[in-house]
Amino acid sequence: MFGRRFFILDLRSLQDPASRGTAAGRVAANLARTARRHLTESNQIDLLGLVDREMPDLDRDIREQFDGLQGHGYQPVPRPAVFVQFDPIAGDPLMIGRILNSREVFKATIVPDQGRWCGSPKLADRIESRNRLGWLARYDHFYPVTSHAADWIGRVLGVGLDRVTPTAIPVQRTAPASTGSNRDSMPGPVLVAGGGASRQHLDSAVRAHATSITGRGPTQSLLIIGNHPPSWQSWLRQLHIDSGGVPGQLRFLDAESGELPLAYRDAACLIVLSGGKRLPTTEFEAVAAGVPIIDCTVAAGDGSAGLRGPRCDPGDHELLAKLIDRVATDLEFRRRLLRQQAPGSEGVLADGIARAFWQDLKGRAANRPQAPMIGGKLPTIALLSPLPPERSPATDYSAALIAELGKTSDLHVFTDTPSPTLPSGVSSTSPLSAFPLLSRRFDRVVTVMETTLPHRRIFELLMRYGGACIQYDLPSPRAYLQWVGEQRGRQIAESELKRPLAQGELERWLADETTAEATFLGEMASQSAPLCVHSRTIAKLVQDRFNIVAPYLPLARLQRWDDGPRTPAPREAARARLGIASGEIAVVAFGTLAAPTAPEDSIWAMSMLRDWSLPAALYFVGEPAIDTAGLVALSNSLGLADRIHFVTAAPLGQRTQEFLLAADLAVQLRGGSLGMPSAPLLDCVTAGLPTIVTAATRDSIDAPSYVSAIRNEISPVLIAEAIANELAREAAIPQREAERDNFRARHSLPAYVAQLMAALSLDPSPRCP
Amino acid sequence: MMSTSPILIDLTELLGNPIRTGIQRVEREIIRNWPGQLPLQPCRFDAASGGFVTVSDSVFYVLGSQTTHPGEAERQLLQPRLQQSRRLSVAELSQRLFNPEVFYDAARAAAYRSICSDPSNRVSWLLFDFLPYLRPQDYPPTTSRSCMHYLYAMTAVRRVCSISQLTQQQFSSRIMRDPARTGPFFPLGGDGLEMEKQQFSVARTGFSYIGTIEPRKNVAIVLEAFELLWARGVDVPLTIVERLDVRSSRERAMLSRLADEPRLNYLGHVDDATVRDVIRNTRATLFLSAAEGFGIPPLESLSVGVPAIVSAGLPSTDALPPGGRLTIADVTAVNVAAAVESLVNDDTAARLWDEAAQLRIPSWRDFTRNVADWLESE
Repeated sequence: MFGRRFFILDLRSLQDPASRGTAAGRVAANLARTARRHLTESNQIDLLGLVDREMPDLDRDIREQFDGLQGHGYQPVPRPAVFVQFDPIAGDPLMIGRILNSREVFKATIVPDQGRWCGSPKLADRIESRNRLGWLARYDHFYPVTSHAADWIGRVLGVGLDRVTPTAIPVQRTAPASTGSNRDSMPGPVLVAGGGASRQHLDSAVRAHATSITGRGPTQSLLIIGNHPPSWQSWLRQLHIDSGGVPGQLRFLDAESGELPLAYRDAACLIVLSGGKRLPTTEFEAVAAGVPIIDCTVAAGDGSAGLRGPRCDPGDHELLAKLIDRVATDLEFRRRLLRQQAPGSEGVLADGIARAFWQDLKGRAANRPQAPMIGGKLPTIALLSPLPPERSPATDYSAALIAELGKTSDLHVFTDTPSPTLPSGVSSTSPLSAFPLLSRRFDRVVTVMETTLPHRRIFELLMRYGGACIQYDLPSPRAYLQWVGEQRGRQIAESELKRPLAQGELERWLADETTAEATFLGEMASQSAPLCVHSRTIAKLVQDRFNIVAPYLPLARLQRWDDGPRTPAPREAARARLGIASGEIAVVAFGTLAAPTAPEDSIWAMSMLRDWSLPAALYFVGEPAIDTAGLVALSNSLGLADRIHFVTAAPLGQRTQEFLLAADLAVQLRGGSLGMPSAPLLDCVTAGLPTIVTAATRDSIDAPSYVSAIRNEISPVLIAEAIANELAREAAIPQREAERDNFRARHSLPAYVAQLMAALSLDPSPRCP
Repeated sequence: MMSTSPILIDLTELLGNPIRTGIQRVEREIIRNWPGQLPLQPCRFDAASGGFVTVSDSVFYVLGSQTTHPGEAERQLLQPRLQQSRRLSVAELSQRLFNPEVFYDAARAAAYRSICSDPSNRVSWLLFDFLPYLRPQDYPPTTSRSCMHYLYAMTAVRRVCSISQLTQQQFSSRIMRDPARTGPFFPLGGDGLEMEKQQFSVARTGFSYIGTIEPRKNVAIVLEAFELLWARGVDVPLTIVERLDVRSSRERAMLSRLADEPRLNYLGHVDDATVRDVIRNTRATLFLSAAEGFGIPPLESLSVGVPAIVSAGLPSTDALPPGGRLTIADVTAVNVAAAVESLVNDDTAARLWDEAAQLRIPSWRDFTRNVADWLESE
């Protein structure tokens, strides 16, 4: 039984405007437009179009046929699916490599014209051709549009007949002759197709027409279809006259000419002179238009066999002349020919081709045995990520994640970090490449994305081939624009916000990235399956702005030190070690010291606290990413030299641990309305330290009650107020252990991996390999 | 024994950059209406010397004039009058310096803190509002931080008065967090339109909003309300006057969409005479801001007898006795539409006009008299 199924159609050939008039383009457009109608006749389907986002958009009428469009060939969960390729020569085969290598997918392709595979003698082209043949061999079933293409596919790929089903190039039915048409009463023009390199065959047709009775009449013209050199045209005109033809009755007609449909409408017959490798489009069109065909080919077998009427040796112009007269004057003979051609004419009309194609495909896909699923072994995961010793929050996180993820998967890491530090839990480490995204060896491919410039290659692979993605934090607008260019970046932002950017708006975002309203996640969300994010706020934005579900994975706290209860004795000892005076209110800002963390505002807040007679001091504990001279000068100018401290010297890890214990309160600010949690914030919360954040940051995690928020638009007065209020509240609520324990459990690495596995639709329970 | 020396009024910003702001308007009204027994001596902060210098009092003729338009022309008129100056001593400043301005200059703030370090100083400030600090969402990013020098200096000033009770309360409870740090408040004047009292007529069918178009002013909700009314067939005209702030993207889009709407008349920034003409054709004005330091426009409307539809919590109208206005607690398009529709009824409108005519609205002369009395008091 053929139940609800998943169809993926490769639409890339339809994105190329140059393909629209070609035979291959017509085949593709016809099938793409009719897929839903024919596939849903008796079944429910999910119809997905595969496109290349670098290429022009599809025509709207085609786009609207699909449940969704996808810019990559990655499927998050392998499931029985049918993949249809309309033109295996168009588009990069690597982009769909994962599909072509999949056991779960039934893969079918149109084979339009074998001549396009081996036309160029250049070595590079021949290598490319061999490469493409390698990918072509991965298809399960082939639909050649000519019998020559069918022969070729069998000969080159060794494909048996059971894997080949002929199809055809669709033609539109020509409008019936208007009232008063002379097709049945008066001899219309005689059409001649082909000739190609054989002038002799053309001269035979010319002689035949010139010597036929109807051809010598005043009304019947001879139209030779095709682009023939002027010297041929002169010679043939002269030959026509010398053979007794009426001057001016021989004309030449371009195959792409708009006159051709009109010529079909009234034509007496079509003489076909040569078969061979070319596509028999002209014959199909003639049949569809109800024009009898006289077959003068040397050998039939170009796929149009069965369409044609009487055969004639191409050199026998006398017999051909008689046939012209008969088909033009003997109405009964003509009708008989048309009746013989009728079944074939149905087969070349767009509707008929589409119906036959989709019915055949459905039957073959339904009868194919299902491939086995993953079961019985650990899932094999490829992780594309930077690694230590490269330094960034995401690399630290990846290293910790790998150690944990390796416990429940066969984990293979691909990285562009030179001489990477190998974490435990890795089965193999390899240089970054497209290989994991194409190989069927990996059940899932996961990219770790942190939008800083060194990770551009991972971004490019994701955008080309798709995959699951862990978005460590939000893309930096500046870095993202460097990746994709300003114009495209602007388009992405405008598409996300559904409004044009105001003049200077993008520049303002770049000057102060915390003011950016766009997440720039649109493309990544559509390319990822799924896009995992570390912020509830971002997950909601992705849902609201792109209508894509992005699983929220609570960022795990990296277990770098003991985070036991902040009991008084160790706390006092830590304060003594750090030189924090008794009675001083120690406010700490952990993490990289950078402009978005609002250090100036925090210093101003300390000035307010002093005016409010609160003995508070502020400690910046972390590496500075900005010049601190300005901050020191501000502190001095406000008379706060003894209340503002910069703790930047190693060992920072140990000092952070001490300050987490010694501090009264933390200020972990990050401007902007697109909230993201940070590792230092998790440290504060898991340490049970009352912390001031912005509302967007608070909303991005499951914040316990001792995390207080100020507005996203940071103001020194609001920071000072929040600190003063929190200190007052701190005295009232001394015990936060239960909330802290709960938060720690939810933000542990094992919990993170379990949720990641669920997001990847993998069973997270450990099994024996 | 009270000193007879003049009061030194710090006009640094107004003299250096005369433009049309609410604060500069207050300064100009103080100059125009100054009734004090003690004369005013203009002064300014001189960044080059790091101190205050006197300025010729002829600048008052420029700044107090009704005919000079703020901007480059006024700046050129002022420039030659700034040359003759005398450096003021800390002792002079400590006893008589009055600041009615908001500023961002660190050096000027440091100078104030230095002057105020004398425990017996009588430096006095007029406080406007704390919106950039308490509602940073209404301002461009980092505005509050860049205004902190002003606040830093303010905390050293012992004598302050405010333009509203709200400002006074916020100063005590949120800026100083000390109930002892307070001062009087003096409502601003509502007679700035300088026009005749208006009379109700059924021919007055239009409504108007006069004020800058910033997100917090809720002009988008006003537009939505009128679209609701128009959709219901209530053909009531709306006129909007003043500049469109760059952050008002929603309002910009709505005004653009409604550009061909015949019942909407958006005039942008216009001169005072045009504002008066708009008022002469208005049945009621609208002012539904989410937050204001004071909120002059509805007071000016009521001052000439034209009723107003206002949001709750406006310091200007909250200080008035009831009558002459419809106050909306929850500013939504539906509620605003309902208020406007109620005033389409001539009887209801006439009643509100009668009430407005009975109100006594504070004048600029009242305000300046209050400030002068306070400055001259011990």
